[in-house]
Amino acid sequence: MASFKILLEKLRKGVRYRRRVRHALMQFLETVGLYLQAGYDLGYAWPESLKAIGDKMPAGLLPELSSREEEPIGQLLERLANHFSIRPLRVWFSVILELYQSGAGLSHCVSSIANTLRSEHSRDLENHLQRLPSRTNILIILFFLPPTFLLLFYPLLLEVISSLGE
Amino acid sequence: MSKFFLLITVFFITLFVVLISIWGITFLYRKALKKELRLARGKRVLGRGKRGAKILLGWTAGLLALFFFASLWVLKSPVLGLVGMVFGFPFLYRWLLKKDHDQHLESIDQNSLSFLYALQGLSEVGINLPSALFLLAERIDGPFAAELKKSLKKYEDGKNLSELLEIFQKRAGLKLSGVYLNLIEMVYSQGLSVTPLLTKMVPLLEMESSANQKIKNLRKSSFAQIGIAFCIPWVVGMSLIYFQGDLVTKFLSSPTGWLILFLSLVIEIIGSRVIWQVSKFY
Repeated sequence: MASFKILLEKLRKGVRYRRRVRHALMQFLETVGLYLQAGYDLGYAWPESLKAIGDKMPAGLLPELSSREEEPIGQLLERLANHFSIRPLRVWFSVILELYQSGAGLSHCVSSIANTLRSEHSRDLENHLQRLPSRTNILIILFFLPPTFLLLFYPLLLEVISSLGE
Repeated sequence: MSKFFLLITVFFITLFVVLISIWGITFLYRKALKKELRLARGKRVLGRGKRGAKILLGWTAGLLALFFFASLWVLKSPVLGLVGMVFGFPFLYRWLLKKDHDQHLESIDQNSLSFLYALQGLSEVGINLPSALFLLAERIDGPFAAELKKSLKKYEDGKNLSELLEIFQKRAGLKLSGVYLNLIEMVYSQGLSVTPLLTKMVPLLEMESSANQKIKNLRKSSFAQIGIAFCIPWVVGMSLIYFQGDLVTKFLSSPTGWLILFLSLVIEIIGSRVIWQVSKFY
């Protein structure tokens, strides 16, 4: 049942959408980390970062990360840790929530999470760049070779058929 | 010889039609073209700097296209030539200017990294943020500094640094670098040091810029591959015209000839779309 749910989620939210969400979240957490390093607290840094880069996020992510009906930051983090739309990313919110609840400094943690997401993003991009040439070659052979053969050999075939007919 | 003089006459008539059509159609689309008209007016036109040269190029390309349509009118179809001249040029003009404007904004964003590196250097030396911004805007080359200099000129109107940077961000359409610049200003206005923040920001922007560049190169190479692959069947097919012209005539006059052409085109369009989607990273 759990694997079926994961498969369904993968189909519903394609790979490219998840990459966009991960990229947007990475930029968001980097901005939050910079605010925290500057000395602002999470309750200020979170909405300010959303205001700054919210318009560049994929559809649906901004409402998800925004606090609903003046939700305190702790509740917001709990909601995201349990119900964030991309399941593998929920763990990061639970880490931030745990540190927030313990009263520990968040600047280093948030920056580390952003770095981890960035490394993941880079690795994904490298994999995509490595696999793309072989995929493109196969698609070129599948979609562009038949028209070439059609345009080159069909007139010759017509000529042969008409010659045989004569 | 008479056709030559006719073409010259058509060229000057075309120029006249261009001026009248620009006035007429841009009058109708004035609101939409307001930004582009601002770009084309005054100092930007007629060769001042790289952007002036690009705008001149746009005008030249537009005039050449019109000359082509005018020649088409003289040699083939008056209706096609006239429609092309009257409506084609303003749209071509608008498209070229908009493309130029978008590329200019892109170049500003790309240039932001080198500016912030320089800002980091000055901050580490001990120069305060406003002085560093004014100094760099004045001294260093690049579209980012040039655009920032224009926004900082409003300092004489009594605006503070925060307002100036907001104006700059709106004009330049900055992405992440604009957000970071505002954050630096906010930190500075609180009386805190911006150097540690810049030390953290600049590597982040560099990584983002490097990833974006890879993705852009990927899209460009995919576009080139699709373009070349798309043209190959038609080039190969057209080579038959030179070597076996009779075959091509028979092929086009046969009932299935045009169907084969249409089918090839459809397969190629689908293939182009599939490759374009597969090459997208996000």
